[in-house]
Amino acid sequence: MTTENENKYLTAADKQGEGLIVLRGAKNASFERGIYNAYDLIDLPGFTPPRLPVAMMETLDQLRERDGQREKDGFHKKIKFRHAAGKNGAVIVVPTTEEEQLVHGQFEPGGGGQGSGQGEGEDGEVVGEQQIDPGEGEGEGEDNQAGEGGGGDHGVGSDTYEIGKKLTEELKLPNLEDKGKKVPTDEYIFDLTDRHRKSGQILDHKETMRQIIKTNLILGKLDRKNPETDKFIVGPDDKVFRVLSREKVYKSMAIVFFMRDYSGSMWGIPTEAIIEQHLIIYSWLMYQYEKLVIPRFIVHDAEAKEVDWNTYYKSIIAGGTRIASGYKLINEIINKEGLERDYNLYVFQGTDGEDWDSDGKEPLAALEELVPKLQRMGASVIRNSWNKKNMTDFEQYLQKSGFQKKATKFRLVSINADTVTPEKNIEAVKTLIGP
Amino acid sequence: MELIDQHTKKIMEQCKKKSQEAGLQFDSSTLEYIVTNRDLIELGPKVMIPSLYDYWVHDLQVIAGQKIYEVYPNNPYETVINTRPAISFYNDNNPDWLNAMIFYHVLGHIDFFQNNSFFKHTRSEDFCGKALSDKREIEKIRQQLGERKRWVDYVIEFARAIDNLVGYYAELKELNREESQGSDRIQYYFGDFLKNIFEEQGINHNQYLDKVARCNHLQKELGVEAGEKTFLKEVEKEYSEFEALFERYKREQKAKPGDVFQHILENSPFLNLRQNKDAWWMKKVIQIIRDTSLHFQPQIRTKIFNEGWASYWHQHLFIKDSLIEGHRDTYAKVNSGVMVMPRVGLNPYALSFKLLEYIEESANAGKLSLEFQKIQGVEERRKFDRKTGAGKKILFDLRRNFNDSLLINYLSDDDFQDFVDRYRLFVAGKRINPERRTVEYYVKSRRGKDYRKMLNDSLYHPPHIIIEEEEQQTRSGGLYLNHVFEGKTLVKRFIPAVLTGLEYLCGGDKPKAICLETTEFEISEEDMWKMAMDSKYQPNYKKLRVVYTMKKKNLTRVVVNTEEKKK
Repeated sequence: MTTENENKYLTAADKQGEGLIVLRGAKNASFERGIYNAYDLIDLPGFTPPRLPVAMMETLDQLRERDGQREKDGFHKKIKFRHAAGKNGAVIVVPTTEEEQLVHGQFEPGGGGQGSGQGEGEDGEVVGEQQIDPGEGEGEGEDNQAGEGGGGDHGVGSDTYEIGKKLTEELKLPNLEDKGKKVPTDEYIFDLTDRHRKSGQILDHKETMRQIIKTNLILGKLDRKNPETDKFIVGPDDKVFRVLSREKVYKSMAIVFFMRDYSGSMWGIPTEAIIEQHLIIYSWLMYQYEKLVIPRFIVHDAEAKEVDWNTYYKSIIAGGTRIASGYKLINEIINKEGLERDYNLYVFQGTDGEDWDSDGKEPLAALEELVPKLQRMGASVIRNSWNKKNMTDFEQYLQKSGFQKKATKFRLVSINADTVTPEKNIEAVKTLIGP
Repeated sequence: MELIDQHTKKIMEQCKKKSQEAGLQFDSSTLEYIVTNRDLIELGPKVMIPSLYDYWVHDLQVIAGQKIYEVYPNNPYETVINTRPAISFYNDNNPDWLNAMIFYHVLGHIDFFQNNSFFKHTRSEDFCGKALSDKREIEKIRQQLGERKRWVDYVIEFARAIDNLVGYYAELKELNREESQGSDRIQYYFGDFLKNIFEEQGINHNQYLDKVARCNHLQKELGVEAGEKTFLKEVEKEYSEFEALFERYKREQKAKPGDVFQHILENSPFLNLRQNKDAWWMKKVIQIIRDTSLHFQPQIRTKIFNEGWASYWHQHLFIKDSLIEGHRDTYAKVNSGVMVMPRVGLNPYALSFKLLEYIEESANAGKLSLEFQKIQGVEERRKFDRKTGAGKKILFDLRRNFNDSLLINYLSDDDFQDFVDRYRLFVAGKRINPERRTVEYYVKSRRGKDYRKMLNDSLYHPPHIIIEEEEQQTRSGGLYLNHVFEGKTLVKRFIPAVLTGLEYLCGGDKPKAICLETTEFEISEEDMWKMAMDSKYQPNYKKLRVVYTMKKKNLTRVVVNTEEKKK
């Protein structure tokens, strides 16, 4: 037993630098480790830190009820339900809360922004570097659960479909009436739609009657003014039956392209907001299309590429921005794979509005090609603080070209990064998917 | 959760003996439990106290933003808790030798809890037992209220919102006062009275010492009581107003409002309204939250010292224990994870451990003496070694009397610089590199003074809030809280919730205005951005004194004073 266990905790100890989950949100343990997020049970060998709680004493519904009751009692709501990306394309709901107290923040002019270090190094020499995380925003950011390595599945694992259903009901999201194209699937159902004369499962009375009347008319047995039904002759061919037949099932399927700018300027709140919106839209679509939704993810900075679920939610690259690259890639994919014919296509885009191509020639051309193929396209602009007062490049060239007015299937919504709230995200989603 | 097996317990009892031989002092009975991951998940939010009261927030993942602060004075995931008997937690898969090492660490903690004077108020009672009875009480209340039981949770919530402001030092002062020698008058004389005179007349230290000597002399000659009486007569002769001032002092002491909790319990119109059928349980719940918070106050203020102390002992004792045989290399590996200072970031175990060893070494060499401090020559300082052997004793004394702040500021500037140099510590600065879109950490300063300042700034320090009775009177309000500005502003977005809670506790259905006066800085977005990129940038900012008023759930903010500060 001894050697085996020695190896076990040795492995745990080796992992000490590597993304240990420390409860109070000190994600980047090795860099930001401080006095008060060192705990014996996590730092001493021989213990494995517990995963963040998955099981809760109350269900999500009970929590919602409690929060609702708070409002009735005259207090502010306290529980935030955030959507996060789970494993394998699942959307999970993570309930979180804060305990408010009068406490010091970090801001003090001329101070703050420093920690401890050890080892070699000249004054001014850089000793460590860290990518700016999607979770780190301007000012006091909150933890972004989706960014956590290996900890992504610590919310309540509700079905994405269920979430979509809940959201549609609670937030009064629109229901799609006409889902457009239907595609034959591999499924069959047995239906009593076909008819067969002489034999079958169920007698179709009306049709049979019609046939009998026809036959008897021809035979001259029918006096229109005085029909005597008991004098009718009923031939075997007159009987019309409904028969079970195998029919292919036609279903509406949707493909949704989620496209977002992942360049350096997107770090922080813009990315968080876009992700939250896209998760809501995805859940809603899953519900609307009864789970027949294929999401595809495109990230772009100056170039675009298609990625998987995980990468979409976590990537941040430093680089400039060319929105047209994303559009072009989507157009390519649609054309190459011939998606337009069979699927209902949606595109939802997230950006901070900045674009190297500031006059918009390329992106507009790409949009002209793209939008007609779609059921709906929605673009969310989360304006960074330095763009607060003016319109961003993206918004400007859209407006100038009059594209928005022409394209009825295109929707644009803008929010300032410093005013993003869950409610604003929901409003944005409603605008994007609404009638 | 189950008790550890007999075999392991035996080993641990051996460890206890060895540590007591080395000088650690603690109660002989301790409890050790095996915990599973599941247990830890449930214990964590309850700060490892199994019997802590139930509260729905414990069930949720409580988020405290990384940059902000630790909300609760807490130690979730500590291995040992300050109860009587002390309880500690273990993983059942550990080999014996590892459990022994952890146990030495635990004993270090227990010794600290049971000997450090900042924990004095936790010694008279077993907290685990108290928490259990408190928990049961709250459960009973919930049952009694039936449908309305959620109001218990509201009161818990509002009380917890102010529990970091509990009057911890005041409690300690009371305890210490009871123990100190001399009657009230003598204490007042040598305390506030002479202090005020010094400030006014500028009497120097020696005169103070003379008076102390005189008092001691009289007590020696005539006996404690008679000596005191005679001394006080002399005092009256010298200061005829002494008695009057003493009476006034006594009255002021009585009238002191205590912390916000006590103030509310005593003065809240809502909680003291006879018609308020709920007042009895509300007061009880508030008292429980206050007591719980008081219990945990010393832990967060001695975190660094405690971890260093425990690390020091597990290091020194375990090396000598025969159980280490055959496992030295493994031990070295795992221990280095605990004991190594990271390139960037602070490891309290390592820092504190090294500091204690440094102090011990210095004390052994006699370097903590005035004699040494006067020596200027570098070589002479290096060679100085009086071999006093006093190191250990000094450490035990420090452990009895010091908290983190005292420990960090103990060494002289020169010695601390020496310490920083020896371990090549530096203050790490943080700035944003916009081209690479990264956060950069760089060597900001290797000066001991700067390092010490950085440590001091990182220490836990709740805002200093005092209650202004006069203001309350003039505004006929519920509360007027004055946040005394000490260099850091409050987290703005939490203010409304806290004040709403206070409004309820003070006024209930008939809300009274709750005011909070604090300092804020007005700074442009652009400047914030520049500051993040360049830590040397001095922004233009305005220092404002503002008053938040919460009335009928509406929050207003009024600027009462401004101070423009430029580069």
